[in-house]
Amino acid sequence: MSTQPNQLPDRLWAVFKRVFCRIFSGDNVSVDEMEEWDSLSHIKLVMEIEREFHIEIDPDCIPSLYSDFSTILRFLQDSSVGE
Amino acid sequence: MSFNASYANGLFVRRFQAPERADVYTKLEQKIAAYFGRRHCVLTGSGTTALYTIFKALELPENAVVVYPDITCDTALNAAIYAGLSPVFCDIDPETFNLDIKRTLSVIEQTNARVIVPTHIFGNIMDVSDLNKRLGDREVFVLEDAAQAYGGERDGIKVGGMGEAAIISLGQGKLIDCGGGGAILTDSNALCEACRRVCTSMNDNPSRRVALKNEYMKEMFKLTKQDADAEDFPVQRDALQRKYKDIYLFRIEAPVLQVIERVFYSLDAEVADRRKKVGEFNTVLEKNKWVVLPRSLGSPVLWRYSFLVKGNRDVIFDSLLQKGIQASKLFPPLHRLYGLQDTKYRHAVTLYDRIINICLDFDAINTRNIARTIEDIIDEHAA
Repeated sequence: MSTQPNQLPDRLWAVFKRVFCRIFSGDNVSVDEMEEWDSLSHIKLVMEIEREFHIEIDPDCIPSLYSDFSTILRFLQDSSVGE
Repeated sequence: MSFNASYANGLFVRRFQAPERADVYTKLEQKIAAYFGRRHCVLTGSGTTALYTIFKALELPENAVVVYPDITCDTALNAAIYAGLSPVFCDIDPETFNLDIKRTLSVIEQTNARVIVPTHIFGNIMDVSDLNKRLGDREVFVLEDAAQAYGGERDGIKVGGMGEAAIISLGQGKLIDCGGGGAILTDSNALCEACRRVCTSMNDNPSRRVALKNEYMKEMFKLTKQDADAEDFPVQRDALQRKYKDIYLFRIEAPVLQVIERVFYSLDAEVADRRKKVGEFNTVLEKNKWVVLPRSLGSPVLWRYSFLVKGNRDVIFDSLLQKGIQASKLFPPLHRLYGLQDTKYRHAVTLYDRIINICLDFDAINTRNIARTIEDIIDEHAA
């Protein structure tokens, strides 16, 4: 599925909103700032990202994505999701 | 008392072996115990660890049944899973949002439960004294979960002083946020000593926990993707959680202890701040025809200002978020984690469909404006 690069952050924020049921302000958010971003909700988040962007994420990547919004965004960009 | 917790994360190692530090630690436990009107306090790495520690200290047989309210935080449930116990769930009282005592007695009879975990949900005080009275001479241990409610009191007894033992949490987002930590409160010398023995055997190596957590997330991800619809998924999931339980069970760490030392004394100020906010919220919202507030017992201290709305909850919820009001729809009913039918848990299901929780961490000066914004949104969308 084709996604314009500038749409990617918005779509990823929408996934964050769906999973965590909250509005996000600012450019980034990290696991340290959100009590609700725990290991189980992280798995939900990754599965929701897979659904939204029609991709399969390697389980070995899961821990490195348990970090912050920017890291996940970069991962999607590197995975050519935005092309 | 000697406390010997090593803490290593690759950057530094701290040891609390010095006698003067052990003394500070002991005094802190004594002060916390005194605050809650308890004889003993045992500090732990987290609220979950505190629950787990009590379960282990009780030396229950494997798969002994523990009764939880159907609406509570799933991390409380995890403590029983880690301890090899069998959680069962009981519907809630729609008026208080807490355990329905009559149904609880029936669940105890049916399951031969050994422990019950009355929880002051969102800070609303559970009638533990009525529960104790009705339990009579049944051999069921009453483990009060005060993680969301400490600071509250009823009939001169503090929340945390009502069960045979209680736990509190000082972790992220709690009433006082020390970045971690929990505590066991009890009057029993024997239980206190048994809890200390359990704590001593726990790991205190954060880097090992990080490595374990990475493996756990990978395995849980694979399992959830492959088998989430399988009938035995809950069994597999619980087994995986047990396998990796050491991630979440640990002794209190030196840096957290130092924060607790500093911050615990701010509890009274936090209590006053929250009560003031809740008072103003009540003034605006308690007469709103679309809002159902829980029946209040004693003098609670709310972790979240929770209410049910009679219509269009999700639209109202989204509008609150759009206005920058931090709200949530916690907690999903626990029975659904096990694929159980909704029929026995209809009040919990109704609550989950209608609830809105407002986070009370905002600046007090904005309270009246926030309350009015909430009311305006409800009035606009509820019909």
